[in-house]
Amino acid sequence: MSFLSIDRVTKQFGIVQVIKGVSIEARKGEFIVFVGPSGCGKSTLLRMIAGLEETSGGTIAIDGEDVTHADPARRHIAMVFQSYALFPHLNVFDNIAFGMQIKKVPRAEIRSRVEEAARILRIEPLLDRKPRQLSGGQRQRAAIGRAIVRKPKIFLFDEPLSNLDAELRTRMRVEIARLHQAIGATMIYVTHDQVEAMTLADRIVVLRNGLVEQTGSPSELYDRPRNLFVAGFLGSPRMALLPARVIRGGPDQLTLSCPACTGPEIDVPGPFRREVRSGEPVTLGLRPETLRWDAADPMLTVRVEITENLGGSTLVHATTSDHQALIMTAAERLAVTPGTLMPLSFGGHPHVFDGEGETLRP
Amino acid sequence: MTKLSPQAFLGYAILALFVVLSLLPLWMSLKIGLSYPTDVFGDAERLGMTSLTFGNVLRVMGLPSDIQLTAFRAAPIDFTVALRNSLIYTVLTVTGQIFFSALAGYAFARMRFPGRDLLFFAFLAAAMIPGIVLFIPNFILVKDLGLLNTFAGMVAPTILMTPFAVFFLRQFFMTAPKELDEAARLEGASAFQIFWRVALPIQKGPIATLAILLTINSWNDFFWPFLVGRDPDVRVMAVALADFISQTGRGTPDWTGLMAAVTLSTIPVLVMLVVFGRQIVESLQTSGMK
Ligand SMILES: Nc1ncnc2c1ncn2[C@@H]1O[C@H](COP(=O)(O)OP(=O)(O)OP(=O)(O)O)[C@@H](O)[C@H]1O
Ligand SMILES: [Mg+2]
Repeated sequence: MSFLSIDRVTKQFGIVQVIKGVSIEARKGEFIVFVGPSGCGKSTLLRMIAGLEETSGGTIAIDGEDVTHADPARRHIAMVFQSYALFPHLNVFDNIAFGMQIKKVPRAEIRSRVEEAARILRIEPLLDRKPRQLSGGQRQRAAIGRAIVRKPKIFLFDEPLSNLDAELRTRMRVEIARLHQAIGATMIYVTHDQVEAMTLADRIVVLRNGLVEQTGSPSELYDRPRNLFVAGFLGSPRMALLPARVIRGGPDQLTLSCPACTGPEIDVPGPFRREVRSGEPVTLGLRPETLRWDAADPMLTVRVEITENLGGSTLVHATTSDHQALIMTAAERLAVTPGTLMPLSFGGHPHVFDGEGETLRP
Repeated sequence: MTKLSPQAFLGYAILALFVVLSLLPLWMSLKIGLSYPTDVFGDAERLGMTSLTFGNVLRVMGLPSDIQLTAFRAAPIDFTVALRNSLIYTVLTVTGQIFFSALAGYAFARMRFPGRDLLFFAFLAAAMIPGIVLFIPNFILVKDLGLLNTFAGMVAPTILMTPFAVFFLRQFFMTAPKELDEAARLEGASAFQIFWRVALPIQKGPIATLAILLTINSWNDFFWPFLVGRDPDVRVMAVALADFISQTGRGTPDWTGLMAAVTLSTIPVLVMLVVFGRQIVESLQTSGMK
């Protein structure tokens, strides 16, 4: 049985429906990440789980108990806000102890639990500082401390790292992963950052416009995106998308003509989810790391715009002959001058999407 | 020594002029209050002290003094009691008003209930009514309640809340980050606990500013306490001063006694300004209030 069960919930702000029927199940201890473009309803959904927003329709159950309309305090949930929401007039100790003080937990127990949380987060020397005397990363830790000390059933994070600089973000990301392993709690994490999503999640929920586009493990979503939206959203650099048309369909192989391609037609090996008729417009999706420089048997030729040397590897930004943007990751150091025409081939099984943007792969 | 630019010099000169202008009355009342009654007219135009005595101060405080005025036969006014009454009156109105106005301001800023905005505008509209119009109905009410000459009657119109204080605090509560309230709510705090332990403490600056403004107002309140609190047991400083002047009728007022009492009445306000002055300036700056 699932620990958190969200069943067809909706949220209405006045006449605007922001969440349009979302169902999500999470197992105990699972790390779920919500991703999606700005305004798709990630924060709203998270706040509904916390009880900070009323649920307009559907039900939310935690640990078998229906909490759809329960008070936030009764849900045994902790939330880490993007702005940290530390109480500015209290020092770190009192911030972390706040909830226990409200519940009148004995002083000695408060002390030992705060100290334990501080130890896990390595903020013991900071306990009597005020939030304004802390760096961004330290505030983040203090906010997480306030969350873990209560041993909540579920942790909610709303873009907790987005106010930190890139390096600190990477470090805190690892810390959160470590924390999740250490305490094994159920966590729901909202982010824009798909690296965070890919690295932290047991399961990613891709949201768009108040609806779930796809749910699955990071590699499932990466390898088998259900549609163009998910394919374009996950993966950095982005997948290149090339328009094409079916010449001959078949269950095991498609023959396509694509304006960007070198030859008149290319063969894409199956399997496919359904019979594809000739003449159907499709989109070919190519992950940057599946492209390689191939002068012997090129499938398409692109014009190099700019190359980015990342030390060990190189990012090549290019455009196809029909002006589609394309990025290729080369594992070696490449020195190509901008404007060079570069012959490429793609290995394996490229993604193919039909006219509706749905995948043709099983 | 750093050299002042001509502009800065001019600026300081103008500031110095205003400092002198605003301190002059204080100095004059202090000077006269500490002079022997016989010296007052002899050197009225001089700025410096000619004689020094604390007799007048002791006299108006009802303490034994070497100065006895034989011309007056009215019962002496005890300014020690008046000072005490002013303190009680001010502390009651200021603390009461801030506490209740903060509750109301917080509710108007943060809580959702039917008619909230309507109620708030009704409140604002009430602020437009000139205070003087309210004196008579309030007086009749207080009289019918049998609260004349009691502190309860004197603080009744303002102790609960005033539109200004409610409006002032509501603005600050509205600009505070909502996440703090929400975080406290998730931690299990009740609505009152959120108010008391989070929302209120983070408004320390604005509350201090308001407290200072209200204290100065209440300390100087005259007309309402004059209407309902004439009894010496509850009579505040401002009213006592007025009574003191009227005691001497058309004759020559007891200038030294009056000025000694005036000096006495400014001391608490000055002390407050010295203690909280820095905070006043800071909170006025940070709040962007004029
Ligand atoms: N209190 C509210 N009243 C009305 N509309 C709201 C309210 N809160 C959010 N919305 C709307 O709901 C939609 C979803 O907002 P939400 O904050 O959940 O997006 P998000 O996915 O978290 O975006 P971001 O990535 O930018 O944080 C937005 O269109 C927003 O304008
Ligand atoms: Mg958001």
